[in-house]
Amino acid sequence: MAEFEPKIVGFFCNWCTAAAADMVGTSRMQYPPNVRPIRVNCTGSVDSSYVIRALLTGADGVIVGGCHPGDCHYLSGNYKARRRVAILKQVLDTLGLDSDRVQLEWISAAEGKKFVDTMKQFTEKIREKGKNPLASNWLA
Amino acid sequence: MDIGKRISAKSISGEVTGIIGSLLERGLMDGVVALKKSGKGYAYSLLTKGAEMTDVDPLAPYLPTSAANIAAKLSRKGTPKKKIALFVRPCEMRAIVELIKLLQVDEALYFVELDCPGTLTSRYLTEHGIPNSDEFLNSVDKYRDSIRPACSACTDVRTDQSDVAIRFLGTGGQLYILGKSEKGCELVKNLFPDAENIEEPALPDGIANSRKQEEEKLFQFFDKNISGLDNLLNTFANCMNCHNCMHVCPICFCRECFFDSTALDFEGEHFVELAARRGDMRLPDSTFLFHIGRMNHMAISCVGCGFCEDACPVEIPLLTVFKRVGRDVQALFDYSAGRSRLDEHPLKTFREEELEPR
Ligand code: SF4
Ligand code: SF4
Ligand code: SF4
Ligand code: FES
Repeated sequence: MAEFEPKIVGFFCNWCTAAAADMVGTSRMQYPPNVRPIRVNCTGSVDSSYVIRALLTGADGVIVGGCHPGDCHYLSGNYKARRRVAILKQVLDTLGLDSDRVQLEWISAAEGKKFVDTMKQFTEKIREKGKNPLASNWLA
Repeated sequence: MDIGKRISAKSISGEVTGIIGSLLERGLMDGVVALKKSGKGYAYSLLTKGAEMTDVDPLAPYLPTSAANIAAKLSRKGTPKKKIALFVRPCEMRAIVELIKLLQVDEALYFVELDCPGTLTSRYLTEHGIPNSDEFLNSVDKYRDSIRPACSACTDVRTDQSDVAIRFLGTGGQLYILGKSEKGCELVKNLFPDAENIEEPALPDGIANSRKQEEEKLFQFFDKNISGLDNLLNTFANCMNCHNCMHVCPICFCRECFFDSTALDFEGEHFVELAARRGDMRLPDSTFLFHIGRMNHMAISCVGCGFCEDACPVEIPLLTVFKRVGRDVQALFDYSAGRSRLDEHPLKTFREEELEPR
């Protein structure tokens, strides 16, 4: 049987993490193809239901990447995202679902290496966990 | 100590209805919202001077909707210039506190909180009809099994967030009318020129303890039968996707709910692909997305009022789910929905340093 290849959905802020991803590409560094990046205007625009829908319809892990505290172009989007992700993880924990499949990271446009390392680590962590039992469940 | 008045009451409800009558007749209020007989049950009515009071029963053991929804209806799109008071129960007051913070309710309204001995389910309404409050209060034991689980497990028995509080639980037939805010004290003084500083009667231990025990039972049920993927699939297996639970929820005030919006309309092909991943999928889709998404949106403000569960046609234990999830997410921010108008709403603010490492 082929090795399990996790599907990772990444919600990346246009002003930092998505730019880091671009930079990684142009400087010919590699990050795992498991990660499917989705560019968003700010982590503050990522509603929890987007993350949940990804987890319910096929993603094995979701990573949200935003500007470091103090650096959000809309001033407080990342702080709000941090609260929302904390709530999301708590909801999953309380429901007895795996909150470690969701991760929030601060990666600036200049941190190409951090981007690559983070994506590798997260992909490996999810690979070890195995298939997301929530993905494509009957009730979705 | 509060500014207040104590009255020996033969009929608690008769006395409270009398107070509504004098508020209106003496022009202290231009309108009062209270429960009034409607068919086999009760409905909220906006009473004005001269209204027929015979069918008014502010303590009727049935809530057709959260009064928080009425407060929002009356003030979201502009508050009336006239003075309006709403006679509400503690769970409704807690939802009103949340809606004030979320800018859906204007504090210019007057809120009068009534002690609440519990209310009956809508199922009881359709099967038997709702008794009046005197009958209910005199024989609460007879109705014990039909009281809404939200009421049996309502541990925040009283708030101190209203303008006026009316207390009678455990007082042996005494009715206390207490001013709780500046404008509430003013109102009580106008209503009773002989009002004086009096002590609020303590809540009997029995009530607090039994409600705590019932809440504990719900949480144990949650741990054993709801938590975990298989349990969850089972719990929501018969959900009809009617979204009644969201429509009646006082906290779900969005004009258009995301989960009812066209954002979740997909091409047919999409469903075929999703189904192929596991062999089959249930339609209509997005059942879990709706429930888990809704929790993420509003559990931070869930007041455990249980209207969601009462409105569910297939008796999904929604109160237990939302109360438990609500308690846990609120604890993250040391928040308790409805506790205080002064506590900052956790989704409206943040700290620069918190929640790290994530
Ligand atoms: S579920 Fe979310 S989007 Fe829908 S009404 Fe409630 S808070 Fe609003
Ligand atoms: S989710 Fe249910 S218990 Fe919570 S506030 Fe809404 S209606 Fe009340
Ligand atoms: S009211 Fe009950 S059946 Fe309707 S959507 Fe809510 S849980 Fe499902
Ligand atoms: S702009 Fe990057 S997180 Fe807000």
